[in-house]
Amino acid sequence: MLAIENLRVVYHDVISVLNGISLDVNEGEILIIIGANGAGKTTLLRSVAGMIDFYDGDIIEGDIKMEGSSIKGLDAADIMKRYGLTYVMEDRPVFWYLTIEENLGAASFSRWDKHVKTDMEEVYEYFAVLRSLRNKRAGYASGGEQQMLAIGMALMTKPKILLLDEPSLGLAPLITEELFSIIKKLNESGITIVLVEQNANAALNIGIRGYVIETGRIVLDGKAVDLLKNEDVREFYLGSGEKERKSYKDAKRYKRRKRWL
Amino acid sequence: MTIVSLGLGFFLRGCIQLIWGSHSYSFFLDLPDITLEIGDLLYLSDPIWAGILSLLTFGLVIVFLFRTRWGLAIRATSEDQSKAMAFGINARFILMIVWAISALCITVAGIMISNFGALQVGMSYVGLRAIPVVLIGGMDSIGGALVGGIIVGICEALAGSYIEPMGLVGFKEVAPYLLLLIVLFIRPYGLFGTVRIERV
Ligand SMILES: Nc1ncnc2c1ncn2[C@@H]1O[C@H](COP(=O)(O)OP(=O)(O)O)[C@@H](O)[C@H]1O
Ligand SMILES: [Mg+2]
Repeated sequence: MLAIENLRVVYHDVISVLNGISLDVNEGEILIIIGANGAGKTTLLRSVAGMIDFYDGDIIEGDIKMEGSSIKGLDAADIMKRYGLTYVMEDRPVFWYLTIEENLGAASFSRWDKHVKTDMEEVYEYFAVLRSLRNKRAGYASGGEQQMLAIGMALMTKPKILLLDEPSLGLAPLITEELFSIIKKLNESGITIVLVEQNANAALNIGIRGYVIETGRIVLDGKAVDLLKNEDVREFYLGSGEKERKSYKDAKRYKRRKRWL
Repeated sequence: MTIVSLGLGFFLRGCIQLIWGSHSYSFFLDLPDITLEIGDLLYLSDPIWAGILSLLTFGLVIVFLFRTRWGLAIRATSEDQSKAMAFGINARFILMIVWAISALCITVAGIMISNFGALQVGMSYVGLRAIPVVLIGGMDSIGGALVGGIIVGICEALAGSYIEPMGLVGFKEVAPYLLLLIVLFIRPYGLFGTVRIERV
């Protein structure tokens, strides 16, 4: 469905962040991308969603294809309209000074039609808390509510494929669990999902396949169940390796070793 | 940014002088005379018309901003451009619309001001009088602009007729800024400026 081919991205013409990333997203799956802070996960999603320009970044090599045709260089609104690809940015991208309902309305801008009201009802079905808060400003909602709103807003755009950037960031474990079960439900309703997470455990548990990225490269990929069992992933992303805490030097060696792959 | 705006202002004024000259043109709208006399107070027809048309324009802008989907998109974009883009709002297009609306409002204002006197290139400086208005009302408050406008207007008029005759010529021009200073000391966001939503 979505194919990324040898993508290289730089910021401000000099800061190289993605150094040749290739990956495929199959229709109907939940694809997990894990990686530490600064690995380039957000940059990858920005590039796909057509927003990299806004951050003064450039795709200097490689291509991004939706259903076989290149979407490189299209702007975000076009990609959304033509290919049904919606990007939910990190850090709960809701409009603080608009009410919950206005937020949902604003997100429907690109496809405004008679069905907006019924679609809002559908969002309230998924996220019951939002219904009771509909006239409250989003800035006063809790972190979990804001993240649910953000995903609800994305649903208002009628996505076929949804890119989620660290939705569990800063949320309590119980809320994260609820959120992920909703993400799973969305997937079952037919939306393909790309889930970027640092919370590797929770994510890999709902995912089908996963990629691990590190300093702008893919260092590991495989079925989610296999990644969960993988020694290195357990050690560096799940914090529960066999061996006791490793020193920084060992961590560096791990990185160096991975580069050879 | 500010400096570029000022520079562009000079440049455009220069262009206007080149094309239309710097003399004044007589200009008046043929509106019915609705001069009012209540007690000792005389309300001239032109300022009343200006008030009516301002309120009308203001009302239209409000309806547009708060009752249409375009307005909603504008309010969303004004809060955060990248979020708006990510949800399919074409931010560049929204900016164009906003510029068009502001140009429209300024045109209405320009027509009414010319109607008081004459149409002339130096007139554009009255735009500067909007600065104390929006700052007193609160930069991001729409109702604040209306109230701020009335406050500044009254302040100018009172200073003009009660304080200037005491020998302070030109005090009328300074009064709004003094008022602005006092307001900003007490309420840094202006009278109706949004108090930021703070979270930890
Ligand atoms: N707008 C930008 N300009 C310059 N550098 C950036 C910008 N955005 C991100 N970076 C840098 O790119 C690297 C990857 O960032 P990011 O894609 O946000 O990683 P992640 O989402 O995996 O934490 C980081 O080193 C970050 O400092
Ligand atoms: Mg990130």
